[in-house]
Amino acid sequence: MHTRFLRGYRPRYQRTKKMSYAAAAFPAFVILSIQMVLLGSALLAATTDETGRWTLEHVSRVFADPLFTRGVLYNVIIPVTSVALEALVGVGMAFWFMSVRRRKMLWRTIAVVPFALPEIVYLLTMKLLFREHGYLNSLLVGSFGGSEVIHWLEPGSAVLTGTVILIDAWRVTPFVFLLVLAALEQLPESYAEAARVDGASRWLVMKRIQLPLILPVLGVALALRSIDAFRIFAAPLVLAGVEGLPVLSTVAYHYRTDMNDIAGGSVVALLLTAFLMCGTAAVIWSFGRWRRVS
Amino acid sequence: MTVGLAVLALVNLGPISLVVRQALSPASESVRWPLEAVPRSLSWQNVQELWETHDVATRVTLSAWVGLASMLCCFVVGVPAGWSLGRWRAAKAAGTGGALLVRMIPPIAIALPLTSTLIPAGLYNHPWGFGLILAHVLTGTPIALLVSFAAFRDVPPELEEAAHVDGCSPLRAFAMIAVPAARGPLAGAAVILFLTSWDEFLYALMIQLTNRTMPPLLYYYTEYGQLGAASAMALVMILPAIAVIGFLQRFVVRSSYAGGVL
Amino acid sequence: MHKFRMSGIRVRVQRMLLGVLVTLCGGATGSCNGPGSDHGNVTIAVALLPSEGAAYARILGEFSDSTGIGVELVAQQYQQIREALRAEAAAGFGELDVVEFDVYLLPDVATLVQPLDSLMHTLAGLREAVTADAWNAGVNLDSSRKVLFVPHRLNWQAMIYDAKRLVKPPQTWEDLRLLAQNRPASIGIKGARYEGLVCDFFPFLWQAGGEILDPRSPAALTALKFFSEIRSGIHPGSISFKENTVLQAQEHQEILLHFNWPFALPLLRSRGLLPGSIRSAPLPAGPHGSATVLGGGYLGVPRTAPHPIEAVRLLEFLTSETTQRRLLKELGWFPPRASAWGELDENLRQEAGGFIAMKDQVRARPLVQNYDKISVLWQTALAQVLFEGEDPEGALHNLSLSMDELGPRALTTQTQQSE
Repeated sequence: MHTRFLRGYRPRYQRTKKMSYAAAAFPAFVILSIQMVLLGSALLAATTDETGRWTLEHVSRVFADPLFTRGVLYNVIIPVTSVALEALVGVGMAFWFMSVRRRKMLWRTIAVVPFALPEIVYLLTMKLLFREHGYLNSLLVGSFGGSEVIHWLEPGSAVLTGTVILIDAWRVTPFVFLLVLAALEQLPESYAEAARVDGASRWLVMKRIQLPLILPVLGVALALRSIDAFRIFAAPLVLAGVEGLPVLSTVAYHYRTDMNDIAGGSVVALLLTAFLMCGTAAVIWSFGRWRRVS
Repeated sequence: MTVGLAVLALVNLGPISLVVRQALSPASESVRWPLEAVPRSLSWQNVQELWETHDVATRVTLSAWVGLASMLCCFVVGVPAGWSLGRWRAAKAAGTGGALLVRMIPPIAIALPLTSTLIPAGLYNHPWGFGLILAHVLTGTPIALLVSFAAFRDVPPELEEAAHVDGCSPLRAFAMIAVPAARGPLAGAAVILFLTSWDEFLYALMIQLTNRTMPPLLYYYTEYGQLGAASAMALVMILPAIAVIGFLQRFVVRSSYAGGVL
Repeated sequence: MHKFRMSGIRVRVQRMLLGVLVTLCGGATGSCNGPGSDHGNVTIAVALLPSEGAAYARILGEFSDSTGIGVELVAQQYQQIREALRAEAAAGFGELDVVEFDVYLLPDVATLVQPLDSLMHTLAGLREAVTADAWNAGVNLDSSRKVLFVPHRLNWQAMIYDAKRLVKPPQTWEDLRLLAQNRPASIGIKGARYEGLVCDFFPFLWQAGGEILDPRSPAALTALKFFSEIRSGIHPGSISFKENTVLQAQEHQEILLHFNWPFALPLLRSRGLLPGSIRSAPLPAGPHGSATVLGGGYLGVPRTAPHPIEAVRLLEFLTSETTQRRLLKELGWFPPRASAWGELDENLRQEAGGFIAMKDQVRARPLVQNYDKISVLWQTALAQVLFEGEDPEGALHNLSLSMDELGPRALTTQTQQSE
């Protein structure tokens, strides 16, 4: 048996290991490459005209459309605000939840419920809630009387933007809450205990000890979630329609489905993809640098 | 404290209770003004209508099959890859970075080229949903890869080395030692992948025309049909998801954070 | 050591074989049956509301009973049927035997269906029984003038209004103008950037005596000015309304009236709103009388249809007088054959009164090659006037210039081209 350790056995084992790794990673590599190839195909559609020649006419047509420029604007405002809201509320809720002592399992299951709700169902329910003659206005009219309703979903109004941000954030906040909670629960009790023994208030403990400890672990997840937020599609579409509150995904969809303009749709979709990829690359790079520095 | 818990319950259970209300009350209740929180009359009319108008059983079966099959395929493709990236220092950065970048591709960018590719392959509108399964595998593999990458980092490679001393090949060591050691997070990933496929809408709308899964059918109902029947269908979609999550919720959270899913 | 190496290789070989097997299975089952497919039947794709499914399936069942040909019904929206048809055409094979399209989509899908002249025996009789407008929409756009589509059901727009809060619906442009002044945000317009927007406008253009292909006429200016004047009365949500969302606004009593197609009627009936709270009425009449825009479902047989002979028999069944009478009676679908109207029953008269009153004032959109581009130009002009505050003269001027750029050939109708 000890002959295994003689005469080039170790290098052979390393080679086998490397080959196994390569074999294990290969199918995933194929799948990921397929998506890049499809992306290339979309790029082709966006930059060629009917005869197959390379052209930028689709791009210039898209850039000249005011719907597109409005789409870019809203596609920046909504995700940024939404993620800020989710982060604040989610983190706050998680810290508060740490002090829940009884029936933790039940409350955690309730907290996970939004995972189960398909987005389309959630949005339709929200539409019924927020429409002009919907549940929320019924409640307001019933409680405060009068006949003036609040136009939560009026196109072009700041109220609409706020409502859509709120609805989108509302859906994702439970996830953030659970992540922060999981991270907090991983922390050893000893740090917080030691600080409390020294007389630090709960608030101080949270700010100076717990938050800095969970942030590295959470940082990447939250940063990725913020990039992901720029992909927003269903919420503005269902609640306001493409013209009411355009964002890049819905504009691309509108070009493809309503205007039968596949090239224009590809242009918008690819611009969004490029932005998302750059954002992700930036997050990974800065996280890598931060890790190396600290 | 109790206020906070009440708010949590309201926020999380509120939408579901509205769906239930819509499903169990007749259509005329939903267009009254002002609307009432508790409907004046209840009826099974919507559920009945749903049952009669479409072969719901087939749709549910197809959705479940597509979800299971795509989850399994994502596992077969993504989990070994995540494991190998965890162990293989040279490819780690490129592999995980690549998976993250590909994850960010919005479905709308590649939906049309994908459909055009599926047609000559005979996978478009397939009765068993193979084209759709492929599409879901495309979206789910990065998630499976990232979750398993994070999961296997917590499994010490020494276990596999030790197994090797006893004559186990690396791949066998992976299958028999590493996977069982990481079964918690992997279970969570399974739940997430299944639910992502179960709720997925855009690809299902484009790829499956006659052999529909549930989400496009739901969309079709709400666009031009009966809101009540749509809510009944929504309930059918929600119930299994809640059941699964109830059992596996502690795994779901860690996995979703590892996979950057949210 | 020897054992260890062999096991490694064996695993790899096993994996490879599995992979090959899966691929083969995937390809082979491409032609297998699954839970949803069916062999040897005619597959028809129609845009049905969920509530219409059962009744329509019963009528198809009669066809199956009398001819022994099974029918598989697929209910889809027209856009999805178009995408599926394009997909099947690209692949060279498909499942769909009969497809239904809205009249404005016909030029787009004309190349994907086969001519029916030699296949369908009842064509001559059908041609005589329907109006020229309705018939011509289904005929090829180039000089061959082959019949590509036959009308299945006809639609046109009428006014749908809230009978409880608007006792007397507006009957002329003046009434509508007054309503817009007195009741702001009470009119719903299908204002999203799609065909529905021009469908709301073109009747008014015709009522002013104008033509779609002639934006420089004074009538076009009159019509666009009128729309500009009623802007205050238009509900702001209109900027993104489509047929279904404007109908929902009507159901929820957020608007007093809007213009829509007959599909709205069964939906309103199911919510208990028709004919009590919500009724239909003819469109308000303008300086040159009344007019409304023709829509409708047209049936065609794809080039990739697997059972074209049976498909044509189904077409003959669906366009026969008896079937059209039944469709009218059970589904409220307006028949293309004038004789199929028969004696109107009281229910139909009450519910669809507004639509029926406009039966003889239906006009078709022009059958020109670039209709979709022309439509987009009109949509842009309308959106500018209605939602961006642009003045009608400016919008029309831009529209005229753009239309000129399309070239003279694009604007000639098919009858002129064949001369």
